[in-house]
Amino acid sequence: MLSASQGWQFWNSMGDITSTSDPFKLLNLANEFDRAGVLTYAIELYIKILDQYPDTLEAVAARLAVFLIAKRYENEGNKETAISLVRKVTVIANENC
Amino acid sequence: MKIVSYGVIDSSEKIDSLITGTKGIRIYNIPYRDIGMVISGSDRSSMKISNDNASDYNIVVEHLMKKFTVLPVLPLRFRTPVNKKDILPIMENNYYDFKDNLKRIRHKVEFGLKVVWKGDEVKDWITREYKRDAYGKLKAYDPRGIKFIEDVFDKYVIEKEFKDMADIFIAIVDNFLGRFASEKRFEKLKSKNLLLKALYLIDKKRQQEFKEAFDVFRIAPGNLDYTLRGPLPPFNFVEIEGMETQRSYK
Repeated sequence: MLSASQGWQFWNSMGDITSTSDPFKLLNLANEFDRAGVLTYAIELYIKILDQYPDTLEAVAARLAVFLIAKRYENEGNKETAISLVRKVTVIANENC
Repeated sequence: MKIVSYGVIDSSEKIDSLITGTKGIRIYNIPYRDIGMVISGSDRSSMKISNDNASDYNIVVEHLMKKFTVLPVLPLRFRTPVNKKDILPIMENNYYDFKDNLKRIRHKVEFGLKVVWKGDEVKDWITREYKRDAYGKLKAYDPRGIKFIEDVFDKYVIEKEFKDMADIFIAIVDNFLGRFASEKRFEKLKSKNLLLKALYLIDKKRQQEFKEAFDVFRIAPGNLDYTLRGPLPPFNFVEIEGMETQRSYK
């Protein structure tokens, strides 16, 4: 979501207001990578959101996305990656508490 | 003579069976070339809308699904009586459409997914984020514009952010479940809380995998509620020109 310190906004030539925010842009990008199957990039961005914008709605979405990616790794037999991913999210959550 | 139709199947073989578990429903296959329409005789009571009749209909369709691909199309679906003399013209006029659809949905079943979120909470969250910082900045810049800005925020920006956020949540859910589907249909934000109504066409061999994937959502973070319905005959994936399918999710 937009916040003055994190995001930007402007009046465009049509007199309309356009806005977006850093966490939303990150989330959007992460989701595009996720959709394209480029999971390492997606994870990196999801983690960045959790780390830098923990109290946003984007963080809620990122947490769900990382959880589902971890489950995919687990289902594919890649349990170590899944566990390390969950651990990483837990550490970030504890740091932000 | 009125009859009840259960759909078109990918077989012209003779069927004359009493279906166990129903109130004595006997079904027959009316063949046309290499396909057939499965029917039963009807009396007034079988046309009534009741739980018993719905249950009987489902039992028959499930019975057929074990052996055949079932194409449930209007006017051939539940409670729609058909005149016996209309069957041949229906089969003749729609043969190639029936064949194409049977091929598309062969060995496939439909699952319906509903995802519910707390729309008000999401909107509050978005509004709070804006008010906290952006409003303060605008106030210092031009106090006269506040009312107008507030209206723009409420009517456009907040709504847009709400929809954008809905799209992201939907994409996250679909990234996980969509990989099992050969086709899918979405209805987004049908109401404030109903984030997604999705239909997935799944190969029968992958349905267990799909159900297991869905079970993951029971413990997923994110405060969303998920419900899954199915496997069902692929009512919503039938595409026949001039014939209405059960629901429109396109």
